[in-house]
Amino acid sequence: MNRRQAIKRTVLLSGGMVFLKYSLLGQASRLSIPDGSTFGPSEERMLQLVVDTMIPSTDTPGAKELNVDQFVLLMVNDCHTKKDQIAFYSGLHSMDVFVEKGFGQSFALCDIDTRVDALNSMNKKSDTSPELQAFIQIAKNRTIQGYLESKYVMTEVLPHKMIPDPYDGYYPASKLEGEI
Amino acid sequence: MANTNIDSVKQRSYDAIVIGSGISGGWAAKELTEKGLKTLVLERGRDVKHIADYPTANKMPYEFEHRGEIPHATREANPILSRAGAWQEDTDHFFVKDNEHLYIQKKPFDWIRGYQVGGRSLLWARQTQRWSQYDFEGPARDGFAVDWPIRYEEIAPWYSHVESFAGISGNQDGLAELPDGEFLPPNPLNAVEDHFKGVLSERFEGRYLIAARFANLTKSTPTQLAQGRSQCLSRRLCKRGCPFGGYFSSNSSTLPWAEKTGNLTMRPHSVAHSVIYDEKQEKATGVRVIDSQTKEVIEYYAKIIFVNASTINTNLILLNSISSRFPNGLGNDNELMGKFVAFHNYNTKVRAQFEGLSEFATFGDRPGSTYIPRFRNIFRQETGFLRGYATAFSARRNMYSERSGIGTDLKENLLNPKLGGWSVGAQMMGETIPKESNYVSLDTEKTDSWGMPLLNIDIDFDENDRKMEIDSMEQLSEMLDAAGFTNIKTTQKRQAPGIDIHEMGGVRMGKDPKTSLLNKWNQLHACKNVFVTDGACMTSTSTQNPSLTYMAITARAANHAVEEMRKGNV
Repeated sequence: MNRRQAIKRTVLLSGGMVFLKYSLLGQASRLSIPDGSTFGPSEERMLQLVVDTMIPSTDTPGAKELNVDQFVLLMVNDCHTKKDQIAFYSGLHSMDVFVEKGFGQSFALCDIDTRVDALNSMNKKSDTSPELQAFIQIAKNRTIQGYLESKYVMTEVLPHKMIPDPYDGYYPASKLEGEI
Repeated sequence: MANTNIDSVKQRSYDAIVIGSGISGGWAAKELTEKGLKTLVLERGRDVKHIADYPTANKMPYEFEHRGEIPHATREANPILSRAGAWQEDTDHFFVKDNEHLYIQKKPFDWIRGYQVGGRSLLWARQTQRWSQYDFEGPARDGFAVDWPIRYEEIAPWYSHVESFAGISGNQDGLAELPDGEFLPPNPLNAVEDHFKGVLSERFEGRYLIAARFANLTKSTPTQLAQGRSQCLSRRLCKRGCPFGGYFSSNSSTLPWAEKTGNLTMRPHSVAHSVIYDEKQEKATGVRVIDSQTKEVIEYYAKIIFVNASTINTNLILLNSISSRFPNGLGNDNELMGKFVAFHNYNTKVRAQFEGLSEFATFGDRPGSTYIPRFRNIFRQETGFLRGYATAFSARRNMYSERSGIGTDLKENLLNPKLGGWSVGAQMMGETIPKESNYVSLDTEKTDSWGMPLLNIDIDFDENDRKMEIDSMEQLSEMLDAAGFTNIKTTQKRQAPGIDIHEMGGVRMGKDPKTSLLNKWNQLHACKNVFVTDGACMTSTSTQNPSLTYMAITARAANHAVEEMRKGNV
């Protein structure tokens, strides 16, 4: 049994504790949520809303359209320490309690501006718990990474050059300052 | 039956055997096969064919599941390897995992290995500075290790030989402490590097900023085109293997060249166990190999043997080559084998910013950076520590994306990169002093997956290194300050030796068989048909990245070996 199969089996065996919607199944076979953490449909929806709030759809697709929520989960589960993971899931799980207390309704029901305010206030030490801060920082860093390093952004928006331009160590700064 | 046996021995007999296919083994193979010797190259890892076996070479960043990051659990399982910055998702297949080849760390030592055809030549940093007369004279002048049995003049033509073939970029800088060579056009300097260079030449006597010499083809000459290699495109993805052959590796250059002669036999999956010594003939007759897939023990025979297994494994193989004539390892009559191992000290970094020259930025990319040759204690001893350090230096002014905000603000920021300020980084590359107390030895009890003794590695920094670290931070800060840099920040790491990936010595060259293992032609004093020309042969380390010197020493020794063979001397 290889690693992939082993993890798949663990996920299956853990049954009700970990709920994973079919859209996440591609990644889900790789995920192992830390013991005691919850990741169910409401957390999944919440994470989608968070990445959508961070980088919304405008005239170009936002983080949600680019499935950045799945990337965030993949990275949290594969590339972070257990301590980070526990804080992340705990922060995600407890987010709505914080939002309802501070903004009068659940995150999902808030309008866009209030959601932005809520995420901004979660990052402030005085307002919030260490878990929420850890969650929002990890989610933001990984959302930015997942967005900027998505195929869409790297090919359609800010094309990544596998072969860079010839080096110029005296390139006129004005050409770069003007370019935007 | 007897005939079959004779046939079998014949089939396993060659003119030469080279143990290892990395940067020095590749050169041994090239030189020996070119001179007509039927040569067997033994490689403990798998085959890696140029281009065909570079699976990640053309992948876009988003094609890596974790965007290059090695998953946490894998890092946890590989604490040694996880300290190697080059180990990422795109290079994972070229690095040895911690549990694949165990060793005993008497003191922390990060031994970073690449077991495959081409070895670490696929992964190297590609800086190729020559040693100078002051480097070869160092141990004798300063009274450490033993005197090198060779001088710069003897190795200079071989530097030229390997530079021309490999393709080395650089400038003719005219510095006695860092001799010029056969160079392709240098990497260009940028506005701030030129500024710093100017300040050094005006205000710091004997200190120079130059374009570092690199094994990337800033232009391809007919010599490299004949190898199927073309100009470097500055992709900076060398460590994945270059489909253009834009940098020098055994895989792109020496090994295919050797193969073209028809004289090369490459045998991957062959863990060299020991060199076979024949007491009657008083010479080595072959190499005992363990097939890593079948665990079968097979003997191969040859007239001459080159040991290029990389410094530490070369020590392991020779120490494990036991006979009644050599109970402590082949050629180890003085029991110095495995001792006097040294490395490079990369412990300090200095970073700074620059407010001036704001009319310029950097654009595009280049495969190199700049270099400040050693300026301490070159012509005479003048500080409270022995030897000195070179410095890798680079300046950049790139676009970056602001990451502040949430929502449309953040998206705007990310999609509209701004021009940052100039920033510079400098890293010391210090010489360490070989000492008897820095050694590798065979463990008497534990063995590895192939039944070979485990290695004990007992290597550490010393007081001289610490003094040099402090001096490097002080001097670089002073130089940067004088040039108007601001926000100068120094860092002094406490990393273990090994992670510099420049381990050297243990089978050192020298004049006297009582105090060294190899003569001036890299032959074991006590077994002249065995040549050691990888990092193990190094008497001292100097400050320069060592690969170019291994190449030159190897080419020189291989040509000598062929001459001696023709004369019937080996």
